[in-house]
Amino acid sequence: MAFLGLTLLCLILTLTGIVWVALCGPSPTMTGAVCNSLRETSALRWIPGLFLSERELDSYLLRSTEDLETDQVNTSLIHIAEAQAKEEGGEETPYLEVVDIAYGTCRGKLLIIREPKAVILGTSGRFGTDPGLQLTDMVEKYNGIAGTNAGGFVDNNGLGNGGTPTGMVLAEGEILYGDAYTRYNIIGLDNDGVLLVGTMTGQEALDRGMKYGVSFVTHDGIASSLIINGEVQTQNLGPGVNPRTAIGQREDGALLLLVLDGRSSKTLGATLENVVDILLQYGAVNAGNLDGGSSSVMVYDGRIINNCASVTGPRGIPTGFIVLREEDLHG
Amino acid sequence: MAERYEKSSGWGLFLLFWTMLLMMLGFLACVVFYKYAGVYEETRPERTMDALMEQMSEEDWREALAATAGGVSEYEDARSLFDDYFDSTVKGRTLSYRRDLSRSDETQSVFVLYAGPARIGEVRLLPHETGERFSFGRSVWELDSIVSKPLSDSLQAVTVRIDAPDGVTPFLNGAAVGLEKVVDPAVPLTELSELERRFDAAPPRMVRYEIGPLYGQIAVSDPDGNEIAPVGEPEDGVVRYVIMPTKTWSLRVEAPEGVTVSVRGAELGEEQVRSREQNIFRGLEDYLPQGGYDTLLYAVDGLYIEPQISASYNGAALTPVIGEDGRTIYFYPTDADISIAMHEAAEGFFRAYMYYSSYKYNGAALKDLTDRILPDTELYSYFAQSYDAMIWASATEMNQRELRVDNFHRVGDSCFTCTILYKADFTATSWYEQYSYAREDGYKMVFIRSDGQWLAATMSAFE
Repeated sequence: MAFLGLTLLCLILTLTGIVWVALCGPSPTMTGAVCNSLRETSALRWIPGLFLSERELDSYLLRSTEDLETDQVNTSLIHIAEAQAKEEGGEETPYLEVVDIAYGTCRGKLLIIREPKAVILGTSGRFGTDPGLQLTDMVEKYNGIAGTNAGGFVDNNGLGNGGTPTGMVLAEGEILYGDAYTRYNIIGLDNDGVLLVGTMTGQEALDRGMKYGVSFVTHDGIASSLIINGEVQTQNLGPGVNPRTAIGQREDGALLLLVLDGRSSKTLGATLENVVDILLQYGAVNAGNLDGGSSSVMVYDGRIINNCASVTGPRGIPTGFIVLREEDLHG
Repeated sequence: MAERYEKSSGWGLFLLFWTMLLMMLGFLACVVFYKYAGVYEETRPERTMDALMEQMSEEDWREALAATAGGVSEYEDARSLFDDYFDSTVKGRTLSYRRDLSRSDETQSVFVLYAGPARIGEVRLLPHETGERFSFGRSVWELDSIVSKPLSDSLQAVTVRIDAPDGVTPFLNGAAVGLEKVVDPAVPLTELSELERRFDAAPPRMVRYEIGPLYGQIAVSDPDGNEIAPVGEPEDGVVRYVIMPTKTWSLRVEAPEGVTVSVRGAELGEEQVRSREQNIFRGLEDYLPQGGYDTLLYAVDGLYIEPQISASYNGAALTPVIGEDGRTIYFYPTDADISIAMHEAAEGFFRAYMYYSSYKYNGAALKDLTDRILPDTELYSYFAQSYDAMIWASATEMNQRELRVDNFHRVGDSCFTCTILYKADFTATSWYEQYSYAREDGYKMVFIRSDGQWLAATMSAFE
């Protein structure tokens, strides 16, 4: 018993020493990355405070961008009908494609959905009452073929049950959570399947024809808009390395659902800059950041296809973007 | 007891040793990690980039990027285009960079360079091969190359399409456009008037040149240096210019109302009517309460297709005469009944006129003439006053070669019009000289019936 105790103590001391080196050592770059990575999590965000003073912490924190006005997505840049017509008359392209992502040290999966109306927002049940659903169950609930997690949820110290969203949830053109008058960072799809990202009130989202929408900001208030009308929203790019989930849309209307792994020996995760680079590489002109960390998960054909970072297995979540089956969409 | 003490003392020593070993290993791990963190910071390619960004001024970036901005066509100056682009896109903006992980590995680091949100180029770093090498297999990085985003990607490109007549060399930004830019040697000229588009003739053929891509100011001119304006708005990145043919045609056609005038099958309409008058009936209002008929003058300039004029009246083709000023003149076709009835009166008047105008100071001839003219008309006054002038005129002999009275047209019950064409040779003799001349004249005539007599009322030369 004493052996185990002493061994554990030494390991903890070593780990503490390593974290100290990372946070207080000779590399400010490492300090910033580790500090922001930890602060983006629900469970470990208190750790940097043990080693760094408030002033030092502030110097590494990004300025909150949650309340910044963003450009509006120019929906005329998206030509969905054109893309479909091209496909009808041209070469056959798959309805849904799963792409392995390897970008630098980032690893993950990308879903390319060429029919944007095939993507809907799935919800777990009664928010605040029912616990969140695991994504596999949520995809099954909607008879979908694939999906990813979507909006943020209340997760104090990593102990949330995934049943209570943060911000706003909008599905089938109705606000299910949040209100019409508060300004949120919203990522959603309108009635034509056009991706809308940016800051807006619930009412503004409805006025713009939004059918499905969620909101997400990081713990430090970094807003979710990554790309608007082809312009990278650089003020929203944090240096923290974590698992990520994001959604983007190409000019031809195809939706991109991206999940990047992290917190493993294979890959530590991705910065939001990495996320933007990958989405740009695949042609995104609008994109938003969704809930990441241990919530980042992608399901395809009934099973999880990414390396979920949650040590306790896939987490319950309140919302997910679900890709419907082609036959259900056209049938 | 002693044995137990010895046993527990050995275990304690082992635990102490184990703990010290673990702590030493832990400490070592921390030291190694600390060392690594230091090396990591020093060998980050971003550190080299930061130093580069600090060292280089805006003008340094201008020069570095300009060298690799890529070529443009011979009609543009690459450096001035680049400077314009740099001033509008880069100057005064914050430069930043992002590492392109997809093209970076341990052998090279590629950074994408931005000015504000605009991507302007790339910076490539390579590991330092000859300098200080750090541990942990990491190297410091040094600049390898700075490559500008190609101008062709940064600037809006257009293609210039110039249609010019065969043999006319267009100029683009002051440089002659060579035949190697010809994409079609015979395209129809489309910049035609509405009238010409209705012609049943093929439009002139033009030579089509295409030059592109072009990124900057475009100035197209003809060989005389006249600047040509673009035609319409650019379409699919193509800006059109047309150098119109210098050879153009005009037409002037005079015809009485009701006559259909056509040019190469296209009927002329009100848009082409320049004037409409009843001059030959002026002063005859008492005899023509309903007025006479209008004579229309059609005028069209700037035709690129040679006009071929035709006319008809009630379906019958008309033959024109060409007036002194080159205009094409049509008359009504002869009304056979009037012609038979009035031919003698009309020809008789004209013979009297010619007889009078051929002889010096001949009062009898004048009376014979004025008896055939409606009194109180300009025509009557003219001849009455001419008598005094004839005193000083030469005696003239006339040899008539042709006299044609034609185009009889009834205007109510008391009026008809006709034309008279004659050709004659004259010999004039005065006290000091004698000379000959030939005349070919044509007149529009108006005759009015007054007190049962048909009298000339207007005589208007047209040829």
